[in-house]
Amino acid sequence: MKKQYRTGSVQSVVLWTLVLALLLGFAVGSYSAASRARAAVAAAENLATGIPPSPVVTSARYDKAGGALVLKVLNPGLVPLRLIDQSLVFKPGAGSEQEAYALAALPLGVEVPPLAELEVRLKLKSDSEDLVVGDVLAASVSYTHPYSNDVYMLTHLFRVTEESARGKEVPEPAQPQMNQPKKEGESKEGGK
Amino acid sequence: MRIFLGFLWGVLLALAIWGLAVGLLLATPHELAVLLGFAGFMLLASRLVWGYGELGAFAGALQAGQNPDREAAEAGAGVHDAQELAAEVLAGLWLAALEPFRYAFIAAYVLLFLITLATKLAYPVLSVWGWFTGTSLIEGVFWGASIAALIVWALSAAAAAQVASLRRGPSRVSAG
Repeated sequence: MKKQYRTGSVQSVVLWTLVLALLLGFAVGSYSAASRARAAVAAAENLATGIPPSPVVTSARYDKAGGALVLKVLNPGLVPLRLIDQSLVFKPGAGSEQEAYALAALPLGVEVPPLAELEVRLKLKSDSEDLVVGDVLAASVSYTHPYSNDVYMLTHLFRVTEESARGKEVPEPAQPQMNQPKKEGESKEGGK
Repeated sequence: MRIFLGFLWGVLLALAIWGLAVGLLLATPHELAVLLGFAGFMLLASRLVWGYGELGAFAGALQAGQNPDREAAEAGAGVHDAQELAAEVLAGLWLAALEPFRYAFIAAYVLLFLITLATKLAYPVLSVWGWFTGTSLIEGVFWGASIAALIVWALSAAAAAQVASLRRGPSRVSAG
C-alpha cells in the first residue's frame, strides 16, 4: 500500500506544537528584549551626550629638557571639548632663584575627543630657571563645549616635589593637595 | 444577578481595552512589528483556522459516534446533494478543499522568511551577534507571522491526523 500523505496522531501533533511554541516564544521574547535593550541604551546615550563634562587632569609631569609642564587631560563625557588657551602663574619656593611670573592666554587649540585622554604641554617662561623643590605652578586651561558659547576654566595646582623635579610623572591623587579649604589656626603652608 | 454579571463583564472589557491601549503605547516599534505580522497573517489564515477547526470538530464527532454536522461538511467540501457520500469521504474532501489556502499561506510565509533572511545577509554569516539580535523591523513581522504559522500548522496537522485515523479507526463500520 502506498504511504499516505500527512498522517500521524493528534497526540504527537500536540507534543510537537508545545515544543515549537516554547522555541518560538523564546525567539520572540529575545527579539522583544533586544529591542527594549537597544531602546534603553539609545536613551542613556542621548542623556549622556546631552551633558557636557568637565576635563579632568589625571597626572602631571615636569619636562625639564623641554621646559614645560605636561598635563594628561581626560574628557570623561561624550561631547568633545576644545582647549582654547593656557595661563600660568609661577610662585618660587624658598630655594628658587627664579622670580615669580605669570603668563596669560597663550593659544592652545587642542580638541579632546569624547572619552579620550590627551597630553597637553604648557610651556614655562622661556629661559627661566629649572623648577626646584617647593616651587608652585598654577596652570589654567580655558575650554569650551559645543552646547554653549561660554568659556570655562580649569586650574591645576602643581607643587614641585623631589620626585617631580626630576621629571617623574605624578598622578593627580598623589600630588600635594593645595585646594583644600584652610582651617583656622593653620599656617599658610599647612596641609599635607 | 444578570445586571451584576453584565456590570462585571463591562469592567473586564474596560480593563482589557485599557491594558491593550497601555501596551500599545509602551511597545517598541519592533514589538508593534511582531503584532502587525501576527495580525496580518492571522487574517490570511482565518479561512484555514475556521476550516480546520470545524473539520476537527466534525471528525471528532464522527469518531465519538455522535451525529456530525453534515451541512457544514458539505459546504466546506464544496459538494451538493451528497447524502450518499460517507462522512469519512466528506471529511477527506473537506481536507483537500483547504489545501489551496494552506499552500497560499505557506507561500506568503516562505516569501517573508526569504526577505527576512536576505536582510540578515548584511551581517557576516559567522557573526553570531548580528544574526541573533534582530535589528530589522521586517524580522519582527516575520516572528509575528511565525506564531500564526505555528497555529496553522498545528490545526492542519491535527485535522489531517484525525481524518487519517477515520480511515483505519474502529468507528468506520458503525458510521458507514
